[in-house]
Amino acid sequence: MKHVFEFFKRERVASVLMAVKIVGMLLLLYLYLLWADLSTAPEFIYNQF
Amino acid sequence: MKKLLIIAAALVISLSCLLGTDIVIRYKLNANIDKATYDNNIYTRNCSDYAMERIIDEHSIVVLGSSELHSSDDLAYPAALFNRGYSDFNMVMMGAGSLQSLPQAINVGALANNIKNKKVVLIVSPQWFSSGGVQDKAFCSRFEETNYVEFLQNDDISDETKAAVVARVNTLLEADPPTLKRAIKYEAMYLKHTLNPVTYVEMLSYNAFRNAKLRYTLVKEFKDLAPLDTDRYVRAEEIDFDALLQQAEETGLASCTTNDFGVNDEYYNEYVRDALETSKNSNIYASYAVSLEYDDLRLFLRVCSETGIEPLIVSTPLNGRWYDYTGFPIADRNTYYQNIRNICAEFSVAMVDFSEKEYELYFLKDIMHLGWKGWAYLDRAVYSFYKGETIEDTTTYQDLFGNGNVALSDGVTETGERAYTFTTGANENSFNNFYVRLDHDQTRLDAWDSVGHRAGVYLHTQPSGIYTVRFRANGNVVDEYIDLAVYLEENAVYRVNYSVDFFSTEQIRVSDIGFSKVEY
Repeated sequence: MKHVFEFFKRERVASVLMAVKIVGMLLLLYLYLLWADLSTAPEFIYNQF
Repeated sequence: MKKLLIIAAALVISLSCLLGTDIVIRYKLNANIDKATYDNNIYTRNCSDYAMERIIDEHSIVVLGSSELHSSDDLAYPAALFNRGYSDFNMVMMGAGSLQSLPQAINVGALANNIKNKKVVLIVSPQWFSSGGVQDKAFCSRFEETNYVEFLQNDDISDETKAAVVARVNTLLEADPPTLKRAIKYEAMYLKHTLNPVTYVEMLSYNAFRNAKLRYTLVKEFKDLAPLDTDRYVRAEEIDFDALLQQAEETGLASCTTNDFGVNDEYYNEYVRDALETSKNSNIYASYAVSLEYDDLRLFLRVCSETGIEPLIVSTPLNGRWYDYTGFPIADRNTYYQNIRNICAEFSVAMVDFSEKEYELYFLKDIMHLGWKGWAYLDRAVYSFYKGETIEDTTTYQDLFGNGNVALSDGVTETGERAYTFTTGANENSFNNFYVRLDHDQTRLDAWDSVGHRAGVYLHTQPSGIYTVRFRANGNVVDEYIDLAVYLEENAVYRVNYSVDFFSTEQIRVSDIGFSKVEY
């Protein structure tokens, strides 16, 4: 366990982890925007009669 | 510095992931594109330049319209007739309720470069022509922003036409402020060229994202579409349109068993039955004669003209039996139909005039949407338009004017075959307008105070017998008229037509007068 903590404390690994976090956040934000309904139009019900 | 490098690396990796995803998305789209020819989804497929570029080919005609395009008919509805695209000819339909002339002008401007054979069909519905034209909330709910940007980017469209469209769009988008804000930025970006560089980049990024989002949504949508039935390849040339019309009539007959309006049972039970009493004479003051929509239609035709697109305008009828029941004036309906003819003549564009099918049962399936026979007629017309052939009109007219059954009042002189001049005498008479009146049921078929051609149909609901049809110059002191005594059959449809060649308060000159029995 001690080795694991030491591994993650290494400067290079910490940098990679930070980059991964940023990439992850950006991709999650992008995926959310892909899914989200961005329409702001007022509701309109088309009258069939 | 190190943190900046990490952020830069993260951005590069993210961008690479996005690009990679987009490549996969495009690949999946291409794999399913054949299924989407008849997927008329205005929020996705119709907005995607990427998809439409692949769907429209030289053997397809883009058909623009409104709610009638969302139909379901296993017979003549194009998706059924042309086996959802497994055919040597297809109609790429784009439309939904409230998608009227203005949004379709934007669509044509956006798609013009993708339309290989440079032909489009626009199905025009009378209901579009209420006085205010398209409603703002309806317009906002159907606004196709991606196509609007494509429209503004089209260099073939003049700045003058773009400015006219933009002015209308901005007015209508007031009901949707966030979208209006972006529309104003697009205007500054592509029309006025006054957008600052930062906002310019922001809008470019936003549009790139919108396009990517569209492609992503389309992948999901196309994946769920049923596969094509490849057991039956349709050759349009082999379609027997006469047999199709016969089948359409039989289907219509079987579908309308609860009423005399030619309205299908399902629609009648859901919308009409309970509203029957309140609908009687509810439209006596309604009118489609004056509407902002006429100028929107002109904008549509201007965009077609500037982008080199040859349009075919399809004028669809109202349900005559229903509109008679609601008291919608026949004269006003005929004015509307004539307005459409006049606009087509103004732009020298072809039209298919179905207005005289107001009383043809099963042409419509309810009070306003194309039905079994309507689709069959439309299929034949669009296919003829695609091939560059004359569009056949199978309606027949039995001429009933003349043969000694015409009587002229004082002041009317015959100046040629079916040509007459009405002249006021010395009694200070002055003409107000000219119209055709059926005194036996108090119906005016039209009423005009200007030159031009008029035509309209009428359903005779009185018992069979001899009646008088009066072509009347309405004077403030005395009327002058031509009376046509004619045998009319109960439940038969008649057509009246004439041209006013000259109109003044002292003299009216009329030619090409006709009165015929119509056989569909």
